[in-house]
Amino acid sequence: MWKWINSFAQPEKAYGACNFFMPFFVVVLLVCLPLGTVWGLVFAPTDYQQFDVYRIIYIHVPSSSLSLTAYMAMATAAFVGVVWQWRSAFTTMLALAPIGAVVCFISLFTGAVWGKPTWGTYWIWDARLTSQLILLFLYLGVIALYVSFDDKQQGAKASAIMAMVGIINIPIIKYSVEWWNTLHQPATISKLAKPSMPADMAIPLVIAMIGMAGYIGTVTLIRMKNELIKRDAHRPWVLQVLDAEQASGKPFIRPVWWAVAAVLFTIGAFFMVQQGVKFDSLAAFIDMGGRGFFVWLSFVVSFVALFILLVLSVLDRKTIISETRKQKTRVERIMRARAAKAAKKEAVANSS
Amino acid sequence: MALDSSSNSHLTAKIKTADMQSRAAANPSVLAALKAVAKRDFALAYRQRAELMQPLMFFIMVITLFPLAMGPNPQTLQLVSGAVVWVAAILSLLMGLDRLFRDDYANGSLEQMIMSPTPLYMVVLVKVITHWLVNIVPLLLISPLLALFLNMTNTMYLTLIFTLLLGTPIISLVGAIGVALTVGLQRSGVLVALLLIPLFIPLLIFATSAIEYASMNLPIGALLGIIGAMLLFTLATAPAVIAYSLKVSQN
Repeated sequence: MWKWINSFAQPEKAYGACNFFMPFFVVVLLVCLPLGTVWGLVFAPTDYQQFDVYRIIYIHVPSSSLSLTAYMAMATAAFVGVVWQWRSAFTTMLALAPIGAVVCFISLFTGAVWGKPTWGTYWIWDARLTSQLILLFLYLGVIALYVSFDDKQQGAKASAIMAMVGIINIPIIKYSVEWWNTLHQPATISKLAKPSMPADMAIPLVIAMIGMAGYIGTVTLIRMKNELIKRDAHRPWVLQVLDAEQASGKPFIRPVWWAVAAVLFTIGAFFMVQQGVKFDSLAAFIDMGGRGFFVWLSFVVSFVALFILLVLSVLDRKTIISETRKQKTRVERIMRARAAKAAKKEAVANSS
Repeated sequence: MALDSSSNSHLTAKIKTADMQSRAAANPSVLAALKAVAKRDFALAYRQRAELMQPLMFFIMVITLFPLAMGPNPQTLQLVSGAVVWVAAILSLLMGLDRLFRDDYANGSLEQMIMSPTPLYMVVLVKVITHWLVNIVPLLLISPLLALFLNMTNTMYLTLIFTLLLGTPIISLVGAIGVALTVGLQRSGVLVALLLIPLFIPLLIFATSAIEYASMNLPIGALLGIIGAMLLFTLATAPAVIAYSLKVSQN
């Protein structure tokens, strides 16, 4: 068992594992994120207190809770990397850091945009907002530390230590900030009041949360694969794997998975439509009870940020692959030139 | 084959006993080595006393800026005094932290310390303690002046001293992790601050709250207790992390 798990410390095995898990996350992403968002925006009932502006919850809560989860995952990967010297674990950690930072930023941004219509201010030194801001700082610290190293292996180790120090501090920071908050501002606001949401509001929230997890998983795998290829560019397995992928001609995600995604989405959509549209007209939908600006701003910015990260990760893969190939042709050219030179020398020696 | 392995195990056993013996013999020399490290650090600090003064001057100047920026109203100053002193202390200590390993890294003595049989985490602990003594004693000596500047009451001042005594070792220990991680980098000054400032937030909260409580004549034992607990936890764990970070930096 341990031996089997430990075999994933090898980059090529880890790469294969990435490919194996990719379809699951892609399906979850494709099914749940659109479904949860549309359900939340159109089919979830209107809140009796906050009316339609509460729909920001369907992007805010998934990103908030998963930004912390992503940090825990990152620190776990860092721990595995440092303790068992798994090089592939470092790539997981490095893949997660920017994603966690983006998700954390989304949580802060949507929180601020939601705060304006409900609390009357964009920013308030609320305990959760403050600890979320500190979490963003911790993410940025890990990234900044890695970026400033020239030797990437060393940088990965250093930022792994930083991630682990951060995870020990997160609970301390959280409780200290909560305590500080009660000291300085007697509870004037209770976010959402949390009187246990009704099921027809909570179900789309759970779906959106799973969808966000699918997004994080998908992009983590993409970035992790990039990182694995980039680090091992000079090793033979990289080109073997890339050539095999190209030669097989199979689509990256098999049609079966698309079908699974379509079926699941249809089932979800069926239940969603049964809830009934909660708006009279398109104009009412866009207006969101007069708070359209805030709702649409938070959703558009969040999805643009998520999309940009995804596109950058995919483009990164293209550049890395083309660079690896270039490197290979260059090495081959050098080898050929050397061989030709040697042959020439030999010919000269023979003739003389 | 059998002969081979038996002779091998015999050999390893021999090496093991020799190792153990040497370790037992090395015990007094560990203390001697640690003493030498401390002595050397004190001597270096004494010779670089001009450089040592810089964070202290920075500390005083930052605190001078606040009355200038906020107006000299004694009540306001008293209200914010704890916060101002603590923020200034964290910033100035961060500036001074750089000295902890930089020179040793540059001249190669850090490598010798890593290679030496003396446990690295002990060496590191001694270095951090000497660094703390050298940096914090001037700060504590200067603090009556700050109490005057910021119109602190006596209880507030006493609490400030207590929080500084308990809290600044945490800054040195946690800060040493950041310095150890970045010691190999060319320009690490701002980066260290970026890495470390989020980690000092709990300390800042508890320390300033203790001073605030003291200004209202509320009991502060619990707050000092929390800071003390944080100090003990850091004292137990940080040296090992610093030692590992140094090994990573030294590669």
